[in-house]
Amino acid sequence: MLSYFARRILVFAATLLAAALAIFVVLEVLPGDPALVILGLGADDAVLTALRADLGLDRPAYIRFFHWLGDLLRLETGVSHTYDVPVGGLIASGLGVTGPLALFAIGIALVLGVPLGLIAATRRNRPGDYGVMIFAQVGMAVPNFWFAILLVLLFAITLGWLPAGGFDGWQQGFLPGLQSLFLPALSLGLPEAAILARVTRSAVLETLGADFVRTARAKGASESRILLRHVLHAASIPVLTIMGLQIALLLAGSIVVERIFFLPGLGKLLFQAASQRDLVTVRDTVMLVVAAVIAINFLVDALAALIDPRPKVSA
Amino acid sequence: MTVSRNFIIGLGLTATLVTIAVLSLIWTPYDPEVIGGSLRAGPSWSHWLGTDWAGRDVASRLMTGARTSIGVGVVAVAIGMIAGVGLGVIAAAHRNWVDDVGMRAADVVFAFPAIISALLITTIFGPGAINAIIAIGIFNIPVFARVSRNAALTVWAHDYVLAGLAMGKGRLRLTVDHILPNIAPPLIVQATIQFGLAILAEAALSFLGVGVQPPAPSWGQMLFDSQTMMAIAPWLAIFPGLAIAFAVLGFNLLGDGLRDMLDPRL
Amino acid sequence: MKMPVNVCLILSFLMFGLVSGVVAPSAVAQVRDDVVLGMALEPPHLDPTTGNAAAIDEVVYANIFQGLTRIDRTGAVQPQLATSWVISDDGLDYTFTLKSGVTFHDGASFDSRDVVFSLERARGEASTNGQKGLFAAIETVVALDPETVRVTLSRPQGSFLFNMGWGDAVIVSSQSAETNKTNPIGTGPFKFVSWTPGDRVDLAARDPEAPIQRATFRFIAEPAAQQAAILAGDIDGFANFSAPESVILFERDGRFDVVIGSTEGETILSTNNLSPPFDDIRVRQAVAHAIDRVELIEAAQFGLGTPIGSHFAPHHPAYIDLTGTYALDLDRARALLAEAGLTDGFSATLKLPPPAYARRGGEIIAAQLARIGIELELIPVEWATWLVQVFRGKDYDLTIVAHTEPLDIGIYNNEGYYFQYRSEALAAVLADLDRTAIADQRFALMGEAQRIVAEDAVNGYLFQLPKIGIWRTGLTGLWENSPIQANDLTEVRWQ
Repeated sequence: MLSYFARRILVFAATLLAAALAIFVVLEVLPGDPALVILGLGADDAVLTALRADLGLDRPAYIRFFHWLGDLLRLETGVSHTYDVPVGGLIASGLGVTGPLALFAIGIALVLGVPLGLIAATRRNRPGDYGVMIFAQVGMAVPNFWFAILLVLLFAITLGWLPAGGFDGWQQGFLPGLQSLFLPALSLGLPEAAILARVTRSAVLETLGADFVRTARAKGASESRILLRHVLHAASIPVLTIMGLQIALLLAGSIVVERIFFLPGLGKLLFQAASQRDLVTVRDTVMLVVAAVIAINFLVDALAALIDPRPKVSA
Repeated sequence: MTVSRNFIIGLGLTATLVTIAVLSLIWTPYDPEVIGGSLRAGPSWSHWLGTDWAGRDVASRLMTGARTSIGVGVVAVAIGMIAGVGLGVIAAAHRNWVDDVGMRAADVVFAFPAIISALLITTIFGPGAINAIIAIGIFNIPVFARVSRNAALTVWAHDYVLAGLAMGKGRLRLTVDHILPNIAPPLIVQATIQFGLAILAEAALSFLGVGVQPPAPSWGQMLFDSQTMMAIAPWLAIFPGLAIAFAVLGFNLLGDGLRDMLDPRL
Repeated sequence: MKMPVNVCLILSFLMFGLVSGVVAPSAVAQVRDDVVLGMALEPPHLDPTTGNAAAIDEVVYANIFQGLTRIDRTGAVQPQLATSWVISDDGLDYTFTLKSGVTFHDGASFDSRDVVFSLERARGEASTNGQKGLFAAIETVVALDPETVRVTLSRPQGSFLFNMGWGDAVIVSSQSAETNKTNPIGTGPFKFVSWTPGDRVDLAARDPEAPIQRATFRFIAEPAAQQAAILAGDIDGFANFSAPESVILFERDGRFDVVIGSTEGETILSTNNLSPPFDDIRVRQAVAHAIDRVELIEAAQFGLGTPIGSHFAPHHPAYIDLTGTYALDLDRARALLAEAGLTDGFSATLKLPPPAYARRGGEIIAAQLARIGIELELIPVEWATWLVQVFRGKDYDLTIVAHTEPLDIGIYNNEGYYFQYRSEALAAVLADLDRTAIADQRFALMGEAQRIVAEDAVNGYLFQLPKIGIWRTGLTGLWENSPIQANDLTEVRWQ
């Protein structure tokens, strides 16, 4: 067991290193000169050269890579070319929006998806089940950005109930903050809810047929008690696994949704930095996102191994 | 083997999509790229789905856009399948360093959310349909590598395959003879689902402005164009969105139906 | 058995109800003292004396930083930190009398040393000023006493006082000059408060009695998000809105004022005059004959924009209408191509930067040139790539861009400029213009310059970019036109 975890941690570290290398190599070939972007039209050549040296762009690539690795190990970030401030601060303020947004979206997905999956499973092949399955199919097929546009048109522009976008921070209070994240979280959370509804439904169906449920039923336990105590508990494992895997999708989806709702989150930071050739910001932000995905996958794997030690032989 | 309802609906939707795309090769109501005429006109008898900001016929553009979506799906899935299945079956056949390195590499690629890697690729090599397709295709590689490796491992455990190995048949030979035919069903299911995802991803990238470039029509890009015209020309936002949703729905249902029929265990 | 399901359902509905049901209370009927304005582009930093980004001036000009002179909403030169000036008869010496009692936001007092410091810094060897040319004629800057400065020019320059009103020529303090990029310290009526990169810059009034106490600039690049933000009341308006297609919507809505003005942006089909076949004037003339400006403006600009026939703003008194130089005539265009040996047409690339006028305009131009057999490949590029490939690398055939500097016809004479155009005749006219201070003569020379670049068909001249102002009814004092890139808040207030 211990050697298994040692191996997993080694693999985890190697994956992170490979991801870092991939990001660095990819960014090395980006066209566009950050120095020129900073100075803009009509920049002087001497000034450009000086600024390039200032930004460290004149050093060989491998040296810059090892410098960066060193920074990563010390959890330090570079300085944004565009804003001339440490990327760490930009990422932190971006996370302050994207984090709550992702949590909110997951919350919506859970609150909608799990009960719907339960309904479908307990009413198998009845209208309720069909209704939920149709919702799930539609929810997975509708592009989240189109859904976002429709939501803005309806709730913000036509009805005026909710802000069309922007985020004023939590200092205005919890409810206003929640309000401005509601539409983005809904457009991110609904497709997730659709997936969760399907996963919950099949997990619950599987457990409903399991021996321990039959035993409990034979012992005369009430259906609601069986559903709450046994089935939901057993079904929670595949649901949590899927949610872990969906984190990557959620982070990617936030790029599109943050653009529509002009939320100053990680997605917007990344998109803007990419178009402004702010290589340092792109590099560190992508690294954070990728590291988060790898870490979550690692945790999910480790959890699965702890709960069920069987697949230890091979990952 | 019973034909599932999902399969029938899915087949209907995807067949319609393919028919429209093929039809657009020989006929569209108007030339989808010719500008002028009545700008931003609502749906009417002459323009069933209206015209866009430059006076181009929306129905014709949606038809040509179907071709774009299908093209992206085919190429992206082909890239993912060829590279991913190759990697997967070789890894499963040898279970040595190729397996380790290949699967770890797949993990690394998998850690890059599709849109983020597509964004990186298109910022480097410039926005465009080809680069978007490659980006989506690369994202498909680890998906197919995992599915094919896992399926192949199950087949490798069968006695007749092991017997073949004992009789001195080569691993490559066995892979071609026994593994590939037997892992086809889950791969076909996965390919159908990835097809729908590829259509969604292309729409998202074109919506962000890094996918298919104008004047070539793409549903995502039509949605991008329509955003600020929702109030004066809502049809521009409604129809492309519906088209994407129906296409993806079709492939998802087809995949579900195929799974029910080919691989009831899953 | 239905209990848990129903409980979950009720919970989920509660969550919806909680969040969506709470309606923001309507604004109290009281005169506001804050304003939130949107901007399309975010400034890279906040020092207007470094770099060339227009977005910097749009935040800081007249609000945080002030110059010796300032340019007002009509484009006229007004006194600012200099209350008056005397010009010597030979036009070489400018003696400025400075305003007294002015302090910088950090408390440092303003005097003639700051003027000397700022101008020397801007024109010095190590200067990173984006418009060093503005200071090229300066020979010496001398502080005569704390409230008097004399600037001596090496040659008479008709536009010197105008030049000193640019954002690039604002007066900074030697103590804060190095940190102005992130913490701008000027003499203006607004103090810098904070900058949230990717989102907003906050300013606060120095005068507690000022009608606007807090001002915020928010950066929203996407036209759709801009529209949504105004409609939802998240921002009070855009001085320069990006989406002409939204104008109808806002005009219909009684809550907003729509003011269509003019910018200094000549939107042109920039042509690489050294890239074959565009090195042949007949090919450029053919392109000019094939451009249908009316159709272009109607489709790509939703009717907003004034056709131009040369590189000059129609609202300027020296403007002459040259749109007829190469009128729309497809037969003539085809004939010119045939004369140039291109009977079957040819293909070329058109690189398009992000703004909608370029992206949409590019689609229309491509369709129009296709009518005479020119196949254009559209290549959308980000600004960063555009700067490197097109502007500096001159690696392009055609591109569409609005040149937003005021009175910038002089760029046609810049060595190595990306048009790659040379004309002895134009050089002579511009040299004359530089030496002339009399308005009538200057206007005549400007007309001559317009005619030369129009007849040489250097670029395709499309339209003057409109300034689409959209703001809440009741907000007054914003500029209708933009003679320079600025969001001057000094006269803004709520009614």
